[in-house]
Amino acid sequence: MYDAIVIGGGHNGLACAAYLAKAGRKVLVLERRHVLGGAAVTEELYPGFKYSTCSYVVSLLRPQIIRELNLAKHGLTILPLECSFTPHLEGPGLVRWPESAKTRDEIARYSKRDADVYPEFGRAMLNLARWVKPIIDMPAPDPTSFMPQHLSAMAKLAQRFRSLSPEALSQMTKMMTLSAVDFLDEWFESPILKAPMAVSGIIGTFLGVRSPGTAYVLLHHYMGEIDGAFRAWGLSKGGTGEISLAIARAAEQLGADIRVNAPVAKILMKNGSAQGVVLENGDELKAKIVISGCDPALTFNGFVGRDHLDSEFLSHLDRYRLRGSSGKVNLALDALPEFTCRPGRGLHMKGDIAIAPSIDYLERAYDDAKYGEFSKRPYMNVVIPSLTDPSVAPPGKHVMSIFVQYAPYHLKGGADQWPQQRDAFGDTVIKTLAEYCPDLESKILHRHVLTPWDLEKEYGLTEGNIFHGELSLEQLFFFRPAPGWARYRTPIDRLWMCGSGAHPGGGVMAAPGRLAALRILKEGAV
Amino acid sequence: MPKPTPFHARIQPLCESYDWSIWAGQYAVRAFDVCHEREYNAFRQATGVIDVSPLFKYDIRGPDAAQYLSWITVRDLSTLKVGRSTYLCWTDEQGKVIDDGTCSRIAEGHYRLTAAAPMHHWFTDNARGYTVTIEDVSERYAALAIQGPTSRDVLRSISRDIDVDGMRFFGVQEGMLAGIPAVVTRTGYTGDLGYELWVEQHHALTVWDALFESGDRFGIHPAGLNALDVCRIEAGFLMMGVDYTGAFDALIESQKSTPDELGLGWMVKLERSPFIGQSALRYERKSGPSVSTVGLEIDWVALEELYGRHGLPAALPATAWRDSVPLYKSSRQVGRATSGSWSPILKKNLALARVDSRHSKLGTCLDIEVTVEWARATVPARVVKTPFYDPPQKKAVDSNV
Amino acid sequence: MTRVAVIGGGHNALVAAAYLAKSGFDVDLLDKADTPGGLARSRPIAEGHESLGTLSDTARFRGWVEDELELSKVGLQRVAKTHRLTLHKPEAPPIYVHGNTADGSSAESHKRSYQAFIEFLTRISPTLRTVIDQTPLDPLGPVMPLLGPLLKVRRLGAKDMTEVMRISSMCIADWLRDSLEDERLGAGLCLDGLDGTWAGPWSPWTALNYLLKWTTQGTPIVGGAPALAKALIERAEQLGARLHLQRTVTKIVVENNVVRGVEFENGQMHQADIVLSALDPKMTFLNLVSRGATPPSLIRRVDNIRMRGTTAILDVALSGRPVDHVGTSIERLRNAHSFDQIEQAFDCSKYGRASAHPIIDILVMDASGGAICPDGHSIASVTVRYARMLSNDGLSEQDRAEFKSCIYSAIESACPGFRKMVIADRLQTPDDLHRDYGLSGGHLDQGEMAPDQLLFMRPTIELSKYKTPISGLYLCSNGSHPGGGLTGVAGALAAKNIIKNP
Repeated sequence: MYDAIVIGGGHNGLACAAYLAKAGRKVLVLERRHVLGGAAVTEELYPGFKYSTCSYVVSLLRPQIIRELNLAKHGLTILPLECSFTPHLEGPGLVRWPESAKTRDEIARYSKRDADVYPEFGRAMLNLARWVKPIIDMPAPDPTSFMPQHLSAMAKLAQRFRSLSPEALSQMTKMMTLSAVDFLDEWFESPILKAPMAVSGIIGTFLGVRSPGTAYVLLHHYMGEIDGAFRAWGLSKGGTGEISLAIARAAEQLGADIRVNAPVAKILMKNGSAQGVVLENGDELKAKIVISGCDPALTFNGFVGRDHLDSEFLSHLDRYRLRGSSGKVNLALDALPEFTCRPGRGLHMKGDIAIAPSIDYLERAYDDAKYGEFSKRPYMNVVIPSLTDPSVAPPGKHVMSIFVQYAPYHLKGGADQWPQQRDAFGDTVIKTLAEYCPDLESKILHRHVLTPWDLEKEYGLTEGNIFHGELSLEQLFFFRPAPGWARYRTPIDRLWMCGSGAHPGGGVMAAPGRLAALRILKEGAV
Repeated sequence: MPKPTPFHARIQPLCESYDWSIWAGQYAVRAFDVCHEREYNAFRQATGVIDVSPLFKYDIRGPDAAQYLSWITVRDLSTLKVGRSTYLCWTDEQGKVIDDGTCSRIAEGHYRLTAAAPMHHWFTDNARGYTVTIEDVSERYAALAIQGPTSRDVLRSISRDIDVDGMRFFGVQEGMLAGIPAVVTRTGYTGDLGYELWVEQHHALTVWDALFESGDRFGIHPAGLNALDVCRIEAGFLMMGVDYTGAFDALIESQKSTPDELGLGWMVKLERSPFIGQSALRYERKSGPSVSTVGLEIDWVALEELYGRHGLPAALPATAWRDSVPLYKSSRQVGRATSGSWSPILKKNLALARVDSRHSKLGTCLDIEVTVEWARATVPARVVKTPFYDPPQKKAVDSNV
Repeated sequence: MTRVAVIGGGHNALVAAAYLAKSGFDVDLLDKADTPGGLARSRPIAEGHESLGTLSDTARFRGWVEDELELSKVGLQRVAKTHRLTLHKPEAPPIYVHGNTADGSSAESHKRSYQAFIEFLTRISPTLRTVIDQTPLDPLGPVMPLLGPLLKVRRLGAKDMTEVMRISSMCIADWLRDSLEDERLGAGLCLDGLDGTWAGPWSPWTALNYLLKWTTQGTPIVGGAPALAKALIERAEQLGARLHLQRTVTKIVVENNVVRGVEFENGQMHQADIVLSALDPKMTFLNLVSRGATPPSLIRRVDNIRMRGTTAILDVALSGRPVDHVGTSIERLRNAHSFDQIEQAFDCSKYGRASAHPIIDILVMDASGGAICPDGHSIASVTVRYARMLSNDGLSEQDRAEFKSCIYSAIESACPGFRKMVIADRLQTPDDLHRDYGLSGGHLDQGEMAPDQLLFMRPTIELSKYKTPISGLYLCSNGSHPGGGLTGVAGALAAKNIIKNP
């Protein structure tokens, strides 16, 4: 009998297993698919081309996890993304470089004033990010509880707030409540600069750049840490899957067992308590505790079953918003395409490329989704990892990762319309991107389209939400995944959660996995 | 990629040492020769020419220009006459220095402000209610500083309509240099006789060529940042980013400084029209600054002895140094020396420092950290008046001094 | 006696003037209009027909302000019950919301969910009300005063407290969809949460606004806003305040960080020890205060206050009483029937346009209710969303006519026969509101009701207690806490703060 069985071999489940194994516990990880990683996965869907099929960039992977699990030794290498390129249909577009003087010149083309303000904005954001970061790494206290550990955690949080100057508190309040556009309007004047900056606020959410609450995610851009330096984004060498595989190797070396092609059908329940799991082939595996790395909807509606849950929890579960809003198109390219506004294979291609020419463009893309259609002219974030990491494609050829918004799970005619719409969606993406690099289509060797429906069916992300649930305030901290259940426990005795549906939420952080393991150990559950 | 300045085509072939630096995103020579000695001597004995184009420059025009500048900087510029220039700084609302530079009144409603860092947003954001236009002309104008005892002769040799002999210290004139329209200010960063020439960037090379042709007989020589650094320390001039951190670059409060803390309090008159930072500075003046900026003379004999113990002759820093070293009083750290240099002309070992104000009186003896053979030690350093070097020709009108 | 100059003549100015005069201050109120009352006053639409006030909703004028100023002495009365609200949907029977009941909403389960919804709001109201009707606390200030409200909130119980925290940041559509089974009811009610915001029902934080509005609901005043204005004018003068009309203030004179008084258009100076501005913070600091007197960071924060007005008001004089499409006479009617419908109307705002299918909120009053019109006639005040925002080139005659036509289409489909009854009308768009009432951005609430512009952040973090960094200068407009509507709170609390620390 195992101490713990982890359902789901995503990066959080693997991290949780690794930490439990490190503490000497006997852990088994069960992954439905043939490959580990969940949505942090590398798949060679076309010979010679390694796609980071879902998640394609990394920044928030917790440094202490890299250290504690010695991930570098297990093959983790993060390569920095050079720059941010925003091509336009007319004019030279905009590139933001790591060198501030270079960025200054780029921005000055559109606004001299903004060029001066940009580094100042960066500094202000860095200060706010430094203030916010510890909150991500601490477990979420319960504000309604009078228990000493919660009261003292709340007091610490309050003290942190009160340590801010009035100016900083004003900024912080605005950061947490404003829309990305409104927040940026207070700093910058050029819409050409604001559009690509604003768009980082809506990645993976069902909100527009003008929706209140999207400014907060701008901070993530400044919380990214690679090699101890604050930098926005990086690529995992070998694709995002290598992150999960490095964690898996660490876990195995520490004594964890990992099985793929082992789909779980349900959690074995007895007297309201989790006893283990039943696999789809009928095998029963017992454990002292069961930990789910899947999202709350799949965990409770799927593996547990609604009859085991009380009405109050069910009402919270039913209100837990998933609402996937994004899709992905992965391409194998015969050669590098050329962007009309900056021809040639320059350094500008080695970063992320954002199709975000204006704020209205982004907002209209959101409008389409609100009423049940995928964006006719979508926002896209494109990365060509093979330029930085040649190991993912044959020599001279390339992989292109295109993250697309918006693709609403709930289409007007129902989510099951997606399979029929998949090709049209893929075509829209390619055609829109090709407006900026007209030779793209002729270079495509293989195309892989993931709609929210596919994300749900193939990768277990309910409603195609990449974060296992919206990252909105009413579902964060003490409320994630439900009020009172924010410390990785669930209403089912001996069932725990360790995925992005738990605090602190989604993104390739491995934080929920680690924090869940630490809490399990602290409470002596195994 | 850093950018070349308008003078790059002339400067680049002359830089035999390949010792370049990046100043505000542009290439700047540290030393033309492998050692800066010749360039320093040009500054002190003849005329050194240094490209200062990377400075940020802003043209301020309009009927409210003087009132606006009096609001945004710490000085009351309502009395600055046409043809006059002044050295000043500007602070944020808490009275912390953002940057320092010069302001020249070129014509009736036309002022030019220089700065070490980009300031366009700060200037424009705080212009509300003032009828002024603020233009960033940093790229438009190339600038050369010609500094040294023969610089007046050099200037005279290429200008026809500028009253060179009549130009007082901190004067400004518009005129022609070798047929090129220019603004000439009698300002500089070496603490000596000298001028700064401002021309439109497409005329830069013409002016350079003219200068070097007719200036040759006055000992003109191109100079780099290393030589300038020694001179400016001798002159007691602070450098932003070295001797103090500008308020916009500081990460924490204690990294910022007020004008009084930098020894620039003399330019701040509190009882006048409102200016940004006024109430904070008024509050500070009640008790005085807790930190002060001073000049130090480092005891040579003690230094020699220290090296002597290792059997070594005393080593002088090859160039001016900029990494702070601690200052002690009775074994307690009371400040830090922020930059320093051996002064060839004064034959003294000098430093600029920030100390707790109660140890800033002239004549105070402090101990400065010195590392010899990788072991930390201290030698005495005495607080002295700045500028260390103050030659009469700096301010004199007459050629014959 | 301390001389106070109050700039502006709206309800907050009058309330503040009354409180200060009552406490023995020497008060001069300076209004640029020829009749005081600001947004509450009526304006003639046609001969014998006066509007219901640009802001016509008096239900949230605080009972405690009414009592403390003894407004009953000048005949102020409340109606016995709230207006009946008709929710219209094309080709469907109307829903009638009256107080806490909703009739016409289809199923029993819908009624039950509405009841539960009302019960929750009723439970939390008293607690929220106490927080709203006091000067905002400083979260960085002394801890003791903060504990009071925190404990009050905690006493709601874990469940309700968690609900309040959870709901606050939600978009109102999600919350009402969760709470009410009938989307029609939700859409009809959610307009209260959108008041004063630059948002649609799918925008986060709109639920908070709904909570704040609902919990401070009362009953309307007989005669509506114009009656309120008249009562306040009379009372203020009774208490000794002097009202000066047609006085346009062009400068608030400040020397050495102390206020000296104000200057008028004609250059004349009026000295005062205290200046209380009932104009919005942008008008006050960016247009009036002497140059150089306001700290740059405050200027920047005031400049950033968002005041994008998107509400228009249509005042109509009618020769009869309008009815809904089943023939029942209307007191108040809204045509909002789905969240997407409202959201689509809001979408236009984002692209700088007016909604082609506007959302309308009609209030109707006749002479028996206190309106100024002949018997048998009535006056309608139509709140329209979403109008085109203020722009530099203003609204062209063509755009204006087109917008009006869209409004009438919307009204006519909800109230057949309305057009035939129209005697005269007046449309006030954000451009008009800006010009006529000095409202920055044409914003009726003098500052958007967004979470970063509420409580300790309204209008900015250093101005939230009605005091300013300039000695003797205070603010009392709706741009200060608690925000929009004819509540009287800003005027009252500003005055109380002055009285406490003159």
